[in-house]
Amino acid sequence: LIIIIIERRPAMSKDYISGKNPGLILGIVIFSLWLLCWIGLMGRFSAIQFAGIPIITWAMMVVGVTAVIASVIAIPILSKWEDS
Amino acid sequence: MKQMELVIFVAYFSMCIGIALYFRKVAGKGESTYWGANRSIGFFVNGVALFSTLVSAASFMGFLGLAYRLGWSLTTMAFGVSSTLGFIFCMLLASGPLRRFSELRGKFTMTSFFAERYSSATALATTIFVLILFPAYIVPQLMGAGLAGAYMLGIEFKYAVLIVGTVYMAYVLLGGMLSVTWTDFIQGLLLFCLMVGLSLTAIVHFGGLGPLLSQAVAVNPHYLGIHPKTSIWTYFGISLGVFMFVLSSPHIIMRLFTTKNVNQGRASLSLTAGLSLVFHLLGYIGVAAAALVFEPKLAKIDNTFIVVMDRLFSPFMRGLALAAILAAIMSTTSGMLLAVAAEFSNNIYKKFFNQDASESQVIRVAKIVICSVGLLTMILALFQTKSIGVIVGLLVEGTGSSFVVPLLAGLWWKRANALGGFLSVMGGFITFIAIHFSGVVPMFAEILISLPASALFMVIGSLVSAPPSSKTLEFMQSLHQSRSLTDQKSTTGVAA
Repeated sequence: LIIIIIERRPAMSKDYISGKNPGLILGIVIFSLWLLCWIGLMGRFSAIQFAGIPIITWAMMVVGVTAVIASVIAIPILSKWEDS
Repeated sequence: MKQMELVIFVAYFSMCIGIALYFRKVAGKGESTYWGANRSIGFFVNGVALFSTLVSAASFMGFLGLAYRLGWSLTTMAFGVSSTLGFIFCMLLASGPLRRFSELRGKFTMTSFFAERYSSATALATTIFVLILFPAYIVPQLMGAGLAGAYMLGIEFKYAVLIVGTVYMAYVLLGGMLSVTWTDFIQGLLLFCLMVGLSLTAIVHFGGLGPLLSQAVAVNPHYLGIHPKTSIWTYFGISLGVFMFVLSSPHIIMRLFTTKNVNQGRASLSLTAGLSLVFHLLGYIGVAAAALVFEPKLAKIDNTFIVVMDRLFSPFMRGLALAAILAAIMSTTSGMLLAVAAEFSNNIYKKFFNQDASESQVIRVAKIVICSVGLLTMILALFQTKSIGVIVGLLVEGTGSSFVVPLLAGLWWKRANALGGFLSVMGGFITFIAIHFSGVVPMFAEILISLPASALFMVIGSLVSAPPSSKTLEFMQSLHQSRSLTDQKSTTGVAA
């Protein structure tokens, strides 16, 4: 994301570093979710629990499962993007 | 000596050697087969093999011990989710371009990519760090083998180390990547089934997950929560370290070059990510909790798995579980040993000593390296030092600090150049070492400084020197396009 901003690439560009590259976008989304879980839920919110397990652990598990499912869906999409 | 365990132990080792002997002739045909398994591996076999490469002695001993002492939440976040995300990121951002690079250039190491994208100096620095870090990673694995062998078979620690060391060295030597991948595949199935199976057995034994967890929490109130004595930065540091290690470790990247095509490589990484998540979440929750109930004051937490297995498994299953522990150790060490040999023979021997070396000469040198490093690590493992988890944790973070920024920037930042690449590799590693020994941050939080430092070195180095040549940029563009391979194949076809 930082590279796209620094280099001011248009989102519709077919360049591999663009806001339309599905691999790059999915990577940024998953990494942001992971980082947001840490920043948002660690500190003082780490004591909040659901069913005895901290909410941050639940959030991480959700991120992990979502990432695995998204990666499976992404394989043909990435292939199509690279073919084009 | 326990007979049933011994029978399974011998059968397991015979299988490993048998696979190596089966692939022996094919593996000797050339570098493509020895390093890249002739690009013949399907996604399922590669996915399971990759999973077993990740799971090591630390997974069965050190990390499980951390779940016992510091709680399941730590291991879920730090190892389960982070390793899963590392594989997903590798799949999304690195696997396609690197797989195409390997096929276009006929190369089989991440360092070869660094040599072409940055410079020989960056590649040399990477090779040297791999030659330092990976043997150091193998040593605690062999220590784990010694502990497990001594406990389960009743033989002396040193003999267990020597037996395991000799067998894994032999099958790497004989069959190269083909035997490493197929033994890893069988080892991966074994260790996944045994860890998850033991956890499910424990859950059934205690009448369900609820009753088991309530008994475990009665012993360790922080089992499911965040441990108050552990710094938040340690949690985050381990998670980031594992994430970055999985994303950029040369022995994992090497496996991408063995698959039939780019999509098979990606599918294998998704499969590995899923297996890793289930293994760490479902496998750890039952086993560590059962260990707390069975042995509330376990002195040596590396024995968590063994304590539960001893209580719940029959002698036959205990034998299989021992094989699973050894499988975890041997699958990781074999992959690393092969990566060390590939790095030395391709990036030092061929580059500095014999530029016209034939493929058979390169493989011969690689075999000498395999023997030398194998023997050296066995000797070092005989001198037990720190806890397995601590050594492995530090090496994981050191690898992530050095390689992840140059890898991602090399693939995705067009301005990244030779100076940036070199400074990034060197700066990440040196900063990690300096931070660790200065003790300014809690242990395992070093990467929180060394990784941004590596990125900073990359940016500064790249911006103060000339941008990469247009030829390099064109090549980079081609790595991100499927047609680069199609074009090459059609060109080769026309020439033929």
